[in-house]
Amino acid sequence: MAEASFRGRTSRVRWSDLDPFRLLWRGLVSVRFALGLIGFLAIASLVGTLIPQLPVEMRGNPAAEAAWIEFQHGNFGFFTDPMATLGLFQVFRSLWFVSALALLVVSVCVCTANRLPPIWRNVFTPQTRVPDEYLTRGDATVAIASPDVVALTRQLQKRRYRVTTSVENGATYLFADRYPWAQFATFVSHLALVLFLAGGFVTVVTAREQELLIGEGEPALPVFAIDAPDHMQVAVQDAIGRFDETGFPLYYGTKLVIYRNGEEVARGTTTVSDPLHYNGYTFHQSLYFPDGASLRVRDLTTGRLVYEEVLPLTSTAATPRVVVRDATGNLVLDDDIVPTDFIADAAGTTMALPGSDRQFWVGARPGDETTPWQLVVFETSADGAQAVLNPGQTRDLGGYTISFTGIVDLPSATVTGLPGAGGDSVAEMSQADSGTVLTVGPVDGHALALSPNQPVTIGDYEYTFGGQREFAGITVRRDPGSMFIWIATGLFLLGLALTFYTPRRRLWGKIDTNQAAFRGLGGRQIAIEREIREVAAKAAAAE
Amino acid sequence: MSEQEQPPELESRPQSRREWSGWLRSVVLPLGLVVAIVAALLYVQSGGGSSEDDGFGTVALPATKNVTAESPEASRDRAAPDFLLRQLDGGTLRLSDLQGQPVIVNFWATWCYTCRAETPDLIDLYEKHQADGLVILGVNLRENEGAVASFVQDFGISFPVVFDRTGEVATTWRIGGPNQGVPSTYFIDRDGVVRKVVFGLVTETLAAEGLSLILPSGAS
Repeated sequence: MAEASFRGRTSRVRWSDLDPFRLLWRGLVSVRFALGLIGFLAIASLVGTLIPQLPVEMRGNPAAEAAWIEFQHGNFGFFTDPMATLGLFQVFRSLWFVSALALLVVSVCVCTANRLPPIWRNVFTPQTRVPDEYLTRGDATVAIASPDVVALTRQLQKRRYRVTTSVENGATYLFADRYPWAQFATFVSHLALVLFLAGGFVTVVTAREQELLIGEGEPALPVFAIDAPDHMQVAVQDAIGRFDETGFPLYYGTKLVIYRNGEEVARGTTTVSDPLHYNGYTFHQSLYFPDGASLRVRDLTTGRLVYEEVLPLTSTAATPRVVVRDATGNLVLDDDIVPTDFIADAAGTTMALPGSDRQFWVGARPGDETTPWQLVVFETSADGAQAVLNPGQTRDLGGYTISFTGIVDLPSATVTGLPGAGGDSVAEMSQADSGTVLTVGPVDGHALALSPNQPVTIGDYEYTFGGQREFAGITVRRDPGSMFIWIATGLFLLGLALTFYTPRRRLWGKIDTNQAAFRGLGGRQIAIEREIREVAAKAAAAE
Repeated sequence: MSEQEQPPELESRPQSRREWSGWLRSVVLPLGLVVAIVAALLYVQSGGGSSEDDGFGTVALPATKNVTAESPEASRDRAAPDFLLRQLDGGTLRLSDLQGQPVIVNFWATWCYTCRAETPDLIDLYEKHQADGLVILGVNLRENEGAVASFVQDFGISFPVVFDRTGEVATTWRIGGPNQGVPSTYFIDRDGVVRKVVFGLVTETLAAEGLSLILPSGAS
């Protein structure tokens, strides 16, 4: 019999009390210790929530981490470096937090493991006989007139009790046990807690996540480090966005192909709510972006491709819409003027008027609060006559009537390394009557207006706009800890249900010739007493 | 019933009982269970320890081909780690077989913007110094062969391209990290010794510096 079951434990220090394993065990099974750990972790979590944490994408990059910490000096000043040393900017990955979490897991595991044997014995070999003193002393005793044992047993069995009786010295000893297995509820709840903690631990240690922005026609982009065992590559075959006539989104989806070690390993469509799965990883659609452009440049002297990119046009360029009429009122031009160069604070371009060899530089510049944009126009070849127009205004300039109808924001991007450009260029995409147009410039001092698959040659280079390309934002995620969390949630609910809906109740009784004494465990004492009296009454009525 | 025959005190709250069953069962066994579970999780996480050992990847550099007194390492003045990889055209190529020639090993991928940007310059470099015995070896990292073949054809890559399918060579050559580590370019002399390492774009200046160290006539 376990010594903890007996009364009268001595306070004398024994050698076994100094056993380091036993001391460790006492700490691990101590409820106070566990509560202390939980309190510590709760406070640490609060700290980790309130203090900015190092962004995931900067982890493992010493330069980025140092720059981020440097930036935090603006917030925390003198305390920044000590806080960084203490790991307060990476609380959930800090050694002390993970160690405390692991210690709590160990504590709960040890505690749970140590409770299993006594619970097991209690369920399968319960104590059916108790001392008479237990039944006759104290307020918990229920004393009633002696019922008929057989009738009483039958009534208890109707209430799902398992009943055993024995006769000693003329008295009948009764033991009734209902839902004994419900005793395991505490074990189930502890197991759920262990799994919750283990799930959190596994998530902190092993969860992986990466965001990708991939364009149609782009090479498959890498997921995770090139030297990582789970390195993969993801290509977008088709990014789909459907909208109603008001522009309200109806559907986003992306057809993906996943490669691993050079082999195609999965293919399918992912959406926001229905991700593509591969090898424990989920590929969620997190973004749809329609404004991409495919641009290729070929070196005509060698015939080789020297530039091939799918450009995400993530910026916008303020583009003035201009209407030009000649002196007789005929429409000469009605178009968005895509800027390709800058003069002072104005972004614009040189515009050749159709049917004329005259050129005007037209651009937009920031205005003031009432008129955010102004149109600047001057004729390049004449004496510098110029005009500044607000939206909606019209001016006569060099024999033409020029109207500034307003500003349109076009998708644009800065292009680096474009052959023939000699520096950074700007690419803007617009919709013309003839279709989508990609304007790129300056290239050799020119602005190229490229229509899909219609190459334009400047110098030794041939520029081809491959057409509009859509982009998809893909979130690649793997969290083995989530499985533990789901199982833990189920077990936790099961433990609660067992505890509250099927609580174990045990009744012990001694039935003498004249009177009977009962005592029970499981639930409130008043409920136990009421049940004993009800059962006894029904047994008496059944006699 | 005697005192010793009496049943023990009724356990009023048996679920709160803790029972010392000896250090083995009370401490070591639960801790061992935790360690086993964590180890199993980590094993599953690591992919079950499976590997694709098809004979390709990093191979031992023969001692006769190591002119340095140190073990091979992808850093300056160390013998270049040897590898055996499949070529795009179907053949195989072993780095140490190229000893006697100056070699530029360029780790690249089609998804790498800088790799795409430097490819035309590497082609020019190769064509200019091929007569000097220069070999440029493009080591593609874990990509699909079809995509690589298409890229090689479009860009007109004339130097040999090999496939590091599993990333084993990349690991040996310390390619990786948060920025993926590509492109990385190693200038290796005729003795198989790394003379210059360039992480990122190989500019004209860096290429000239590297070539001056491995070409007998230097860069020109």
